[in-house]
Amino acid sequence: MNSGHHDRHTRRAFLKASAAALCLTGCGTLRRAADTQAPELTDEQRARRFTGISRVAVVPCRSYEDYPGKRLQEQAAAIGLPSLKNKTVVIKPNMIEYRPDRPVTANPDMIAAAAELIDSLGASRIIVAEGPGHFRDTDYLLEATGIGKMCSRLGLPFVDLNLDAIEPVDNPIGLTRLKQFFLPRTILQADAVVSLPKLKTHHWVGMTASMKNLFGTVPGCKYGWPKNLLHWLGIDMSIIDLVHLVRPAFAIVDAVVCMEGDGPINGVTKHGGFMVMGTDLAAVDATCARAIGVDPHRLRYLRFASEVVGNIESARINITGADVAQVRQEFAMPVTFPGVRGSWNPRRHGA
Amino acid sequence: MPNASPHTCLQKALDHLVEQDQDGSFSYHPGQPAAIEATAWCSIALRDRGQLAERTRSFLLGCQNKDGGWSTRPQSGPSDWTTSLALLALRLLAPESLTSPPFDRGVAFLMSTRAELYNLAGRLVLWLSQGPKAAGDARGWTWNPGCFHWVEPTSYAVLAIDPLACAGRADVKEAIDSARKLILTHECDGGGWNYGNSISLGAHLPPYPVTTAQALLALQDQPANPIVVAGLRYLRRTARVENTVMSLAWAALAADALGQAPAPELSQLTALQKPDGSFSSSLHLTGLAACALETAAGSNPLKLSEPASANQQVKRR
Repeated sequence: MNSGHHDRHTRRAFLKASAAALCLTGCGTLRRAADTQAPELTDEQRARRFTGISRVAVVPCRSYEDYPGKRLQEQAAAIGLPSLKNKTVVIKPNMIEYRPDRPVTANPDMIAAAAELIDSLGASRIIVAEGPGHFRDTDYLLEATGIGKMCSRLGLPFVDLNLDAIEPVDNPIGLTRLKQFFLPRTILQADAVVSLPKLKTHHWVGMTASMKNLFGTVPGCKYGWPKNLLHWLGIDMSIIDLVHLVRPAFAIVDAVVCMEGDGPINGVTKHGGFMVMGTDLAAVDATCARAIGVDPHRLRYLRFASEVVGNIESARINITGADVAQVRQEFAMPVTFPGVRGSWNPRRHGA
Repeated sequence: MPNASPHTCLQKALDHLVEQDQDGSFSYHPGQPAAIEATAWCSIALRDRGQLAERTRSFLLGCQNKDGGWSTRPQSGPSDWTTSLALLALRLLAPESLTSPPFDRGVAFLMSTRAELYNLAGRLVLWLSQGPKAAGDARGWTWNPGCFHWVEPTSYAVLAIDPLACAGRADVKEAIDSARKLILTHECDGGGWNYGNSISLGAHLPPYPVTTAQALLALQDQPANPIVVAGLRYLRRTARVENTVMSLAWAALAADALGQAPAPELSQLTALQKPDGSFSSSLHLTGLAACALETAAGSNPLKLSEPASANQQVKRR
């Protein structure tokens, strides 16, 4: 009897171990399957890289009531934000879909904070624009997330980039094989675009921050809900192409309340208590990665970014505000990133 | 103040749409270039207005691509998911289109751009990440050729070309049967449909009203199927809570196609109409809402069992 009991345990343990191994292999394979082979980078592509020293602000902010706009303004000069005098500026928040119990989208108060900062930099017109990647019902998203109410309160027009007029944009030296993207006119005609993501782990790219947020500038009317073509082109490489095509003036990352685990949708809340801001999006995202306990070199899109966008080496990023160590926390990573650090355990994290 | 009747709201919506007509085409927003999706829904709503319908037909035929498909707007790159909506509009505007060469070319495009099946390794990965249902052999339609299949474009394709299957085209019937199987196997836990898989990396994904309604319209041939029954139950419970033009209009069309009177959805929908007759700043939603309001008078352009010619005979002032 004891022996049988032992056998059952041994067999169960073996099956568990086999399933776990298969799962890990499968997840790795799955992610590799999404990683379309990257082309050899050319000198022309590398020439687009920012070569100076990047300045990034790490701004502690305990909650959305903790004056995020004022805190961002205090750092604007230190990181050399550009003048936006008389310019039309598009704020691009993350509003991919809505889950009542999960921090999926940028917080409305962060939109207000960004608008306050942009206004202080002299902008003549501020537009909030997003092309939600999953939900088609933008009216519902605006209502459910509170972003619509915030836009109304601030008098900011909202543009659904999924249904905007679109124009072709050549992509001759992009990393993807797509030589022409169609992008919304609102983005192309803006004098400046500000990327305003929610900091989350991401099961295909590791982390979504200022660069992955640009998927929302791609129009659903052409590429669908979700924008599946970008995945087939290689998510990492699509991210890089969009950075070059959209050319955001700067980014503000909402890391006050974040998501860890199986992000960008199914993860759980993690209180971050900070914001990250800068003009070099590679440096901004590398700083975010360090803040969640991930080596930026472990994320494929950031390795590409370090070649053709900007800096991810800490020695070339001048941090102002707080030290990364002050805000750093270990975020649980999705199972698709085994070994990056602290893999996601749904049971332990209450998903 | 009580809401206006669906009939009154429908007339106001149609009058608004007529004002937005750009020589047979419509855009998502006034002042923008024409868009196939907006043209499809607005023209379907206005399909009994003879001259306008003819101009729309000319517009659609004029912007058909060489490969037989349509792009979301004229001259906007490769053919895409809007091909199904262009075909749907063509067959509803003029039932004889079903046997026309342009329609044939459009169908050929759809038949050649169904999602490819994965190889064995790919299916293993899908099985691991999304469960056994994701690794099946059913095929649907994509947003862009060469990509994965999703509920919405698959449903549109079924609605567009199902009459050909009913008329005996074996290849179309096989494709539609496969598409319906795909939709059925992607039911979410508890009923309804997400936009794609119902499971991702072990997590159950929630259903959404809009994609659920679209899936139900594609499955309207099997109203007694428990999966359909559960989906409709979810839809009718949820769309009214979301209370948006998009969710209510789709829910009304789906409920009606499955034999349930959508009076509650229509009641809420009429309350969302603006004084100018529109339902949204997006014209395609006003077109869709108008289609939904037709159901109050016993007509539903997305009801597959309804002979296309009967649509033309619906008495609407």
